[in-house]
Amino acid sequence: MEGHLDATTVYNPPNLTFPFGAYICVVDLDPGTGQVKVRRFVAVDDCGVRINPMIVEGQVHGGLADGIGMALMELIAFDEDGNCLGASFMDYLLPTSMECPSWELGETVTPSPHHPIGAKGVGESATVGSPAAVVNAVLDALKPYGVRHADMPLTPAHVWRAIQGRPIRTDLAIT
Amino acid sequence: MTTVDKPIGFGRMHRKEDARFVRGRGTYVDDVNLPGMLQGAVLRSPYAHARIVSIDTAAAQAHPKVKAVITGAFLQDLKLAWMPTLSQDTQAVLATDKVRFQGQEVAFVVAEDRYAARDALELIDVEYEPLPAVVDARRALDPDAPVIRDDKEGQADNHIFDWGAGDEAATEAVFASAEVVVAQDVLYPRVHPAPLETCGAIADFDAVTGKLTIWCNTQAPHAHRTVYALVAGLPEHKIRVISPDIGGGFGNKVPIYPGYVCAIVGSIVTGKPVKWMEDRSENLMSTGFARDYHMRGEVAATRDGKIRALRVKVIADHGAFNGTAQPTKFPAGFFHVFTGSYDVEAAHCAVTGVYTNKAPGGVAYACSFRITEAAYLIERMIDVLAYELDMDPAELRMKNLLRPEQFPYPSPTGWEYDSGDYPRALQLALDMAGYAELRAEQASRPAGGPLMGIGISFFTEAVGAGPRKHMDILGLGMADGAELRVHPTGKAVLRISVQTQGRATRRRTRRSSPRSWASRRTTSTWCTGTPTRPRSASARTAPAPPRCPARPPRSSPARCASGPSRSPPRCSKWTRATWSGRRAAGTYAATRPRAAPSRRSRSPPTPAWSCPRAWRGTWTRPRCTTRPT
Amino acid sequence: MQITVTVNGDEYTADVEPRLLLVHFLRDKLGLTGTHWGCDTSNCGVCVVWLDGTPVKSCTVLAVMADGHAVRTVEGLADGATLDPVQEGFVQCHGLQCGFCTPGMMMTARWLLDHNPDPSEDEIREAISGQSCRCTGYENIVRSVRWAAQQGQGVRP
Repeated sequence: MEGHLDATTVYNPPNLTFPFGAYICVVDLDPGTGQVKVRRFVAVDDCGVRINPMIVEGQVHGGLADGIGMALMELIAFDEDGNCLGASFMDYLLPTSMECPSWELGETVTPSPHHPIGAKGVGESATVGSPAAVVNAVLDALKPYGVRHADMPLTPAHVWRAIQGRPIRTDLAIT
Repeated sequence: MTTVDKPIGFGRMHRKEDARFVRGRGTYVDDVNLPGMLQGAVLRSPYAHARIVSIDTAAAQAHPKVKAVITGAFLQDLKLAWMPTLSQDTQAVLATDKVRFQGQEVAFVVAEDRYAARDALELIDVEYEPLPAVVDARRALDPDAPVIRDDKEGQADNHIFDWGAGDEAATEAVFASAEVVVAQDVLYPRVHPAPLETCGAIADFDAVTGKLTIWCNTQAPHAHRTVYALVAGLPEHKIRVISPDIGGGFGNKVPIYPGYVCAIVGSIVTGKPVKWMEDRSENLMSTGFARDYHMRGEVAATRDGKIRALRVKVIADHGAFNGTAQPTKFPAGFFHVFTGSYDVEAAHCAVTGVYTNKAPGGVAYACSFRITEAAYLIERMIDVLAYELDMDPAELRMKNLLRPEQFPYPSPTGWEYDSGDYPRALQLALDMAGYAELRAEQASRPAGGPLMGIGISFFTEAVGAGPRKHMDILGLGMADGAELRVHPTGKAVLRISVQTQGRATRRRTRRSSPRSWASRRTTSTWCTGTPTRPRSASARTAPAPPRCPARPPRSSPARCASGPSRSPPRCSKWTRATWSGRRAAGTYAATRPRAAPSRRSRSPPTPAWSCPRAWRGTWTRPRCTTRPT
Repeated sequence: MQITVTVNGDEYTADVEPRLLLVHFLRDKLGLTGTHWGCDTSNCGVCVVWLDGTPVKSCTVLAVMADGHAVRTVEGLADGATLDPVQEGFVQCHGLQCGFCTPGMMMTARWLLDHNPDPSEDEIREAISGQSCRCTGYENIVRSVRWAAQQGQGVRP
């Protein structure tokens, strides 16, 4: 074996890091059909020091799309016999380029005090923050109809039923 | 030399792996073909809950291209019919007594090609005795609910765990004296990470050396190796897990699935490499789902909108086997971060996990364990409170956000938030969105017409693989490691424990190394030995390609005024697809007017580099004690 | 049955089962693994290739239907060592993360630019709307195609 220099380390951080962010979603909603269209999405993320901003932005973009998916269409529901009703992409809907707006990103930088380079995780931030922004936007639109809450996914059918004052359990297809 | 305004390695840099991916030269697990490799396929249950009366595999065995048919009974003889899950429960590899969810694995066929393996599944005759299924998590604990896990000794109901965090008594006290209390049932339904590449593995067992090589698109190869070692009784050095390029993970590729174990058994039985690749339906029906949290949130507040306490009760639907991937200490993951970004006096959550006749999982779908559920709950509750108090949701949030001087902030449920300036981030978002103008536009909408909504969320996440005292999977610490070896020529090999699924780990690792490694004398290479590009711009022979514009021109807001009714229905996705694309070809005829790209009017302000001076200084000194000479 | 298919300019003759999907023919018989297999139901679009100059989802085309026809896959996009502007655009604009949807996206993008050299953002979004990406939120894919469009016109973005 040739001589060489080597070093091995295991990073055991003293604490987790706590990225945060503020998201604002603007939707247009057709009360006749219950169809929701995300018009704008503003996402301000603070993940501490950004090593490669290009990667950070890419991660945020993807997470925001996940949020639109979960808020508006993604669902694994079951019927009373336990049949899975989301067992193909025909039924389990993913957001496409048509449902996603052009994301508007902003940033603040608050370095993590205990991390060697002040960085915090970001790969998951947008998925965490975005569903609530979309759902809150839809319910903000439905405020004139006296709707305080409706469960995800806010598909046209579920939104329409909420407008009619007859919300249903979205997770079950029990008749 | 680079000035140390920003340390070397920071900035907008392209990824190493793109060169392969854009040429179609990625190596995903289904792209790997070993000599003599066979193909496996899984027979799955059509029932959510049924007793298996009999399984007849004779016709499948007789298929000319079939090499092996494996059933639960066969595995039982090897003591492999059940395997541990990442939550210290057990999960059937192949069902022996009952099937407990639709899509559960019942038999495994190994054949010469993937089509023949699927054919043979049709030849297996299974007789089932259907049982009533537990579908509604809220009724799983009813006294008359069928018991799903009757395989477990002492399990007389569908209860998995009760877990709580926070100070229950203090929370009760605040609620008792609160001016306003609002409560809301909130469901985060079952969703699926659905990476575009499904799960799969190739197992190659060498009977002569006793070595097992597993190609698997797992996000957690180290944990997998340990579990395989525990289950198979092989020492770690005889097991090699190779995680090649991964076509998206999002948490779905953390658990160990029965298909992987079946591929291993198939390779042991046939003496050949066996590949198992699930199809999309198998992925959605049987692999790790996410969420499925039935929550009841309560907020105690003052009439002017100061939040005082939060209380949450959760029924967590974990499916038929408790296979959630989360640290041992936290059966409900990090759900207790549910106080979010707000300053509250007291908080308490109680989570009850239950079995249902659904697929196991409970993986994190692009989030830390259960934090998305927590963030969704608190942000929904804030809006419910705003609704009740008739307050602006932005104002209500601003009033309750933690203030910068409160950091590090000990949360009422046991976290210590490390840093933050929350009002600044919210204000920036409001400014970027033009919040006041949006509200004015909304107010101008005529009643009964198209609606417009503005939604806000403010989240705090908790991320990182550590500290080890809190973070483990099956008792294995989750801390990351790295090994650097500098060879006599000055070339170095850096090995890291992080698997990449699209996050540019290779580039990031190369660039964020301390400066000493990045000097020209010592070209650091990744473990693949890829040569490093010359660092100085003058050394490049080809001119640099133009950089991607910061964003494409954004259409004027008027584009959006058409409202939702004119947006295309989702089913149009079908008609646009594939063969009908011929018909749609005219759609893109270049007759449309070419809009001149206009610069975006609203650009997000870029804050100045704001690292503390003390921190910045650390980069002027190499931190590694074994720097090359 | 025996089929002869021209793939990226090379002619291949093979004996295949009539039920063999084009995507499996490309991947398993020809070893062209750049084309991926994602959903079986024509929804995700990771398997998009060109058949006689038109993008198709090769998971819903039988290999025998390609007999006597020309197929172009991601492996045929670059001209030797020179990347197609679409490929270069994806690199420059970070239009890919895990890379699994990328070949299909690029095949559609190339087709779009051949038919509409200066597509708007909306036109790009519509063109790729039959394909899914779970990583990028589509933003950088749109930017990548715009980048390629500007390259194609000699515009330096």
